Amino acid sequence: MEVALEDNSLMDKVLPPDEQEIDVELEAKEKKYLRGEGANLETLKDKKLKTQLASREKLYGKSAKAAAKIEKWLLPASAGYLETDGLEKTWRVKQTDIAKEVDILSSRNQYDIVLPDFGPYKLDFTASGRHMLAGGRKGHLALVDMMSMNLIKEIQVRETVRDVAFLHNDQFFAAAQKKYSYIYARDGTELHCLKERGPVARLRFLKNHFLLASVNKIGQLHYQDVTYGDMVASIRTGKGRTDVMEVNPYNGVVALGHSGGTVTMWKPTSQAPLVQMQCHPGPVSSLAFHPNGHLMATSGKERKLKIWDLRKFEEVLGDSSGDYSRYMSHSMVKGYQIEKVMFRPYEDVLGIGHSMGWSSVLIPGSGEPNFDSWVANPFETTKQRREKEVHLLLDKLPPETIMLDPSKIGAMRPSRRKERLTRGEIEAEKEVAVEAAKGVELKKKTKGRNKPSKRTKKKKELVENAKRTFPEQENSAAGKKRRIGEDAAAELPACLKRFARKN
Amino acid sequence: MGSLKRKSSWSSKTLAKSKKRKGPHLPNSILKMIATHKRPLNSDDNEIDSDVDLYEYEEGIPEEESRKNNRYDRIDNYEFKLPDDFEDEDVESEDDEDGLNSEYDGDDDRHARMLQVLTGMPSAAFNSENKSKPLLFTEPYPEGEFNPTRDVLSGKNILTEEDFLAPLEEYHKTSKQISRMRKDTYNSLVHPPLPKPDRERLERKTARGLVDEEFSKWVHLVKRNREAPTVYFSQEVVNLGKSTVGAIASEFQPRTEFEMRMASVLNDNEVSEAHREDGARLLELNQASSLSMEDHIKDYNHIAKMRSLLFNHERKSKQIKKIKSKLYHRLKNKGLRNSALGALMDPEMAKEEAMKQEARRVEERMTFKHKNRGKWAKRMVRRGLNVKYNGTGEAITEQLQINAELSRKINSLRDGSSSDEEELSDGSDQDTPYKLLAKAKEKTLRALEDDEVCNSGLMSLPFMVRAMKKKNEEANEEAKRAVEEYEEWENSGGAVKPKKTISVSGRRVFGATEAPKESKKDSDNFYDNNSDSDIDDNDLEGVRDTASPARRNTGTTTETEVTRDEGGEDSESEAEQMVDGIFEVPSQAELINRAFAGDDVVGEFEKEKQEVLNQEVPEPEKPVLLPGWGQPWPTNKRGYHQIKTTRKEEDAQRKREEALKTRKDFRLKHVIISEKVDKKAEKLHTTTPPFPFTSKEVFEHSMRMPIGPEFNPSTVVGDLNRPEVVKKTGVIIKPVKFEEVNPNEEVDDEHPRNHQKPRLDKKTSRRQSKVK
Repeated sequence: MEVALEDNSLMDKVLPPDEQEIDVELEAKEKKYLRGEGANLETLKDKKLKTQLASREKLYGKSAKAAAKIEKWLLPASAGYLETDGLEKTWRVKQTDIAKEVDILSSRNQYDIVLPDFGPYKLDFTASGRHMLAGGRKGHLALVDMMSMNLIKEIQVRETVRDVAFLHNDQFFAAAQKKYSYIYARDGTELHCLKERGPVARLRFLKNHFLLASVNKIGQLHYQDVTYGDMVASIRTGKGRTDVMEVNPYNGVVALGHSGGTVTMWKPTSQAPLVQMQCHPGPVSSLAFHPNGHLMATSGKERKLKIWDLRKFEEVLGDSSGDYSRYMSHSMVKGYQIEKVMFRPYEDVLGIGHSMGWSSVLIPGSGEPNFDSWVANPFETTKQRREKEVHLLLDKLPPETIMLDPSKIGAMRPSRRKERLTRGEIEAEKEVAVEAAKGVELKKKTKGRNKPSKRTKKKKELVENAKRTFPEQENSAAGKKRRIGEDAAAELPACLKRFARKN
Repeated sequence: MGSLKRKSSWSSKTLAKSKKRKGPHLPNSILKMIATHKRPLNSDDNEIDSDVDLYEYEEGIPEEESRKNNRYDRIDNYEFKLPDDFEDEDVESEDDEDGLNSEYDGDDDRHARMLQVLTGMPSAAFNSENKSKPLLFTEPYPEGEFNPTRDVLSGKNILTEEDFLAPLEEYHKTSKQISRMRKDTYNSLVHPPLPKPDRERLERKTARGLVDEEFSKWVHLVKRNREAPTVYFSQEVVNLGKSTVGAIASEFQPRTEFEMRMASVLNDNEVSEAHREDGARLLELNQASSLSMEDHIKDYNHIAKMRSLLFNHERKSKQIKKIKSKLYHRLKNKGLRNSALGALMDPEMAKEEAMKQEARRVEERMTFKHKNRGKWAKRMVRRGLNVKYNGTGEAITEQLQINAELSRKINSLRDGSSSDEEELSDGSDQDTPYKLLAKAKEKTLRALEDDEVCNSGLMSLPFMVRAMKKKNEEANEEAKRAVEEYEEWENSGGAVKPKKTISVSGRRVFGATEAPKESKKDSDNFYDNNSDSDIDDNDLEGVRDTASPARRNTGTTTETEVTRDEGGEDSESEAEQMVDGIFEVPSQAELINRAFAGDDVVGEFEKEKQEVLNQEVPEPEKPVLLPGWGQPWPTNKRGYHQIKTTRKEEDAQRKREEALKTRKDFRLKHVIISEKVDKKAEKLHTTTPPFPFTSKEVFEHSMRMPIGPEFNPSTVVGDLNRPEVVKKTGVIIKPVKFEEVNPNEEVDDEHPRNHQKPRLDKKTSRRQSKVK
């Protein structure tokens, strides 16, 4: 058995420069950075656009090439893995076996912290993996620096703590307590009491949107903007109580697992779920997303684990074929009730929060080996952190950018069938409008202009105007087919109409 | 004279020709001459002349105009029609002749008149010379074979044989000359100008050719500029002069007298020093020249005095700040006490604070200071003054409040302390098992001893007595057993830990639990964990209820089964091996299936999906018709009315089906993907592709790459984000200059050239036409 953990040494085999160019690996990486094919420019009639796009494509190619080279030469650390000899199974390898093989720094990450008094612990890591927050069910909140294993702050809130979550950095964290959830600063000062959400079961922070999402005991999903404290959305899921909630890191969609075995996905700008999936026959016990957002793993109370491809919304059939098989196993002490399992970012470490404290085990290959200090820097200085905070705030995304496919932002609006109102609905709307017009109080004018006849005339006019906004039924039934271009032209202001493209 | 006339007539003819093309501007004198002159016998000329005359006659030019025309230089008029040299010569000569002609004309007239006066005969009689000349006739048709000239007809100018033969004699001699002359004439021959439209077309054509040629030079340049991603204006460094006020000021030189004086003062060392150090000195400096020594001393003293006064005043005010009223201090102390903020910060301070608080409480308990038992309060109450005056009433209630607060705190403190004690004792039990055991033993023994049963009321009934007895017996037995156990433990030296601690773990234990009471006691401490979990269960149950009634029945069984599985979870195969011949244990999967069979989750989901589909793609409306209404008498066999589905309805139905088919979740049974339009997110999309783009695909492909610095290496970010036009503020942008451009050159964005935007427009084209 061999263990290779984050091989940080440079590749020993260096190709001569002319061979580098035709490196297949490099090409594959380049393709990845090109993000898909360019458009077919031959079809374009506009020569100017054609050449400009061609030059742009060239730049893209250059950028991709540079990025691929950077990835190859400047990010040499590759993810670790477990390698076994012959028939040996990777999941038979125990933590003690691993400890013998790995370096001292890594072996330091295998430990158990025994805190028997304050019940099962919830864990949360900052994006850089530097800090960990542990929340004991019986009110113990601890903020730990994982690099030095220093306890930064420990507070006892003397209340049930159901969940904990870091906000955008280690300076703030939120805790879902018995009645309300609270936001604390790093030094344990209570900053806010979030009363509007009610008793919260799960808390998650959407770091690109600065939204604190929570689901409470009666199955309401709340999104609160932590920058200015406004409640962006509160949605009644209508699926009952749940304490399974995860955020898709790719697009910020929140997924909830329900007792009926369904998983629903939500965004703050719509009251209806984006997607509902029937995943399990029994209640969903937990959920997890792949960082690239394409895969989702669910587990049900019927002791089954399923992996879903979120691009097709189909189950990945890797369970039997061996793409997804058991990799490692770690047996806990009997009687430990596991509350939360979470990988530490940028480390091959799995944190396990349980009823007797928390443990940390090594899972080779679980962490991204090359951290990007612009994304999340574990060795951040105070100044860098502040700078980062400002940048994060400047780059904050509005809540409506949460959608299933965020790459579609900026593209053409998907053509949609126009939802035509039914006749009854139109009638009802018309009636309402007419009533509103009738109810309008007319201003009292000067003596000559306030005649009853004039007033009635004016009123009639108002009603007529209100009616006019609703087209006649016959006309609408005739169905004037307007072309797409005309549609677009109709939306433009009058002065720009002439510039609308004729299709 | 005759020869002269001929010449003039010829010139007039040519002139007329040109006139004809050019317009009606013919000198008056020539017109006259044309009218009066006899034509030369040259047939060619004659023909043309006649033509001209016809035209000119119709023209009818006003005299003033023609006269006015005379004032202008004629050369201008003819510049386009004839070669320059020819024109000039002709016009000059013509001019001369014009003058002569008019003179001659005038002479002739006078002579005729004189003769008439002298002789008394008509003037026609003297006009013998004129008579011999042929009259001017205008021919309506061009001369030809069938239309011979007048001369020929009248037989005057008939050709003879000699005429034909004469040249032949000299033929050999002159043939050479002739050919040369012919050549000359051919060369010098002036063809008649083309009709105007043709001429203009030609003109345009040639002009266009020239312009095109000129412009085609620019094409590459224009193309390059047009297709360049960025156009750079004024690449060369241009000195824009001073950029800052400081830069301007640094080079300032005093010139005028006033400026000189200012500069001398400003640069004075003494002044600047004074300015830096003391404002007063600056004043002194200003007045130094005018003040005497005495005044100076006086001033100095005055300033010193003022300074000391100021200092004293400051000191006093500082002192005053420190002095505060009694009331202030009282309020301040109260505030501090109430806030007890300091207490939180510092443990020592907290201790002190707690001591003080305790002292206050004790005092309150001993003195009843705030119970309004004082003389004053009693008096007030007795007299009812507290009702009468607001202030006193308030004061009394406040006192009472303070008392209540203090006493309540005492109570709560007592409670807390007692519970603390209990907890402490519990805690200490663990430390000293002996003590705990002793205590437990004592308690059980005591319980054994007092067997008092109240013998009244319900308890006196015989069956109740019996039941109680039974219970008591059981309890006694249990107690005895417990005592025995305690003794055993005591004997073993407390090595065995008390059972209580075992049940701390969170593992669920099912079946008969040994000490349910104890576990409950455990969770009964100050965390309300228990109640919370209760709520959880209730809620879950509620959900289940709403989900399916069938589920409730199976609920308990499933749980036990699951837990049993958990019990044997380490090895599934083991569990299966334990199959006895009599009792067959179903497989794990089957068990699970059975466990979750109760609720029809899938069916419910399908129902939900149908609902969502109906909502998002609504079913077409049914006609609001009752059978039989608005329809003719039944025609079908059965004689019943049937509501036929109209074509419209069928269409609607088909449309709906198509719409359903296009949905993403059409083939996925287990998924509902909402296709509701998010209005807020609509602003993130465009309805039409932006300007240069015409197709959606190209636009979206061009948008696929992010161009920001977060996603691109810094070597490319600049190129990706460079603006379309790069220029410096304040630099004049000059019009584009011609330069040779290699048409096959690739646009290189890395090495930007100084090329300017094409200014190919009217200006240049106009220039081109002018050159032409």
